[in-house]
Amino acid sequence: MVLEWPSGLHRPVVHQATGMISIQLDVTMEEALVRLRAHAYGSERPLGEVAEDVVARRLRFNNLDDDFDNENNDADDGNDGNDDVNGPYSPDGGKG
Amino acid sequence: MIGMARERRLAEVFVEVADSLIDDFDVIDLLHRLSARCVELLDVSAAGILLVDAHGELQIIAASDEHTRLLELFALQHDQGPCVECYRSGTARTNIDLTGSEAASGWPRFAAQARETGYVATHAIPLRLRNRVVGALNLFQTNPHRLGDDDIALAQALADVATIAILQQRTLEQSHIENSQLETALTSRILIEQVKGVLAERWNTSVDDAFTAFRSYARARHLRLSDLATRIISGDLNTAVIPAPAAARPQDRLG
Repeated sequence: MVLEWPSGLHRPVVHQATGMISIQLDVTMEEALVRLRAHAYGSERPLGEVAEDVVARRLRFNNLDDDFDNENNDADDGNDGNDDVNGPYSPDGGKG
Repeated sequence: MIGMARERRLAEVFVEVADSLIDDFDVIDLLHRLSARCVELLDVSAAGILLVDAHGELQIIAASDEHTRLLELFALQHDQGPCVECYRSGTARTNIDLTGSEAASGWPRFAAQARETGYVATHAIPLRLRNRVVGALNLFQTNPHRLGDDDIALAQALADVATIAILQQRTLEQSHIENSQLETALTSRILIEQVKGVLAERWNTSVDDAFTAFRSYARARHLRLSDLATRIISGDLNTAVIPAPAAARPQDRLG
């Protein structure tokens, strides 16, 4: 059975992956998290699981393609299309 | 017995914390040190402090060590595990057998991952603020000795100190300080995780090694971890000034 994480944002590994992606793509943390979420959404995998792949360096993001699906990904790559999908929604935690 | 030695050590810990509180202190670093003291004084294997966020979920804020595997075990308890029950009931859950059927049926993911990490027993102590609970102190043991009433009372005292530390942060003059302070502490935690990723990517090292180098740099310069993290993420600080860990040159080291 697949373990579902409601959002994944509680997991340290998600924020670690965000930091790594921000360097890989030279973007802000907000943008990096959106790209991470978009990838999870597009590949229909839990956010935390995709983040684990990034931190373990099984998955890299790069800027050669505009499409988040087409980065050099030797882990898994089960889908295509969705060019203008930006992920389900942007996180808005931490207001105050 | 070791009782007197522990008492003296305990007094030292409280003095250390009191000293920290009068400075402009780094809450994450203080809570990390407090967690490490819990491990030492209570003779447990690992300790972590979880705080409730704006959505009522528990988030890990600091731990006795920063290994991602341990952080993830605490983080797993945002929706299940002894800390959630402790938080909801406001009472301590102690001497929980992770190998037993109660843990396995009550919190299957948590119990499985805790056992996989080598832990056989766990305890959850509430972080109390007047009549409210704002989080939990979570202890893990790799060997199953029971914690007695004195140990639990000590753990509660340390948890109370943690609560005071969290609420002593800078914005004391604000009204509704409590929620904003919890949020500030949790935001600092997120920034530090992001910085681990930034440095790990720049140095091609593990996130855990990246954190060790980051903390050494902060300590040597008496910088607050959260301030340093903020400066790195905003681009104010060129990370090239931070000495990379030895493991950052894998071709020299691995093989």
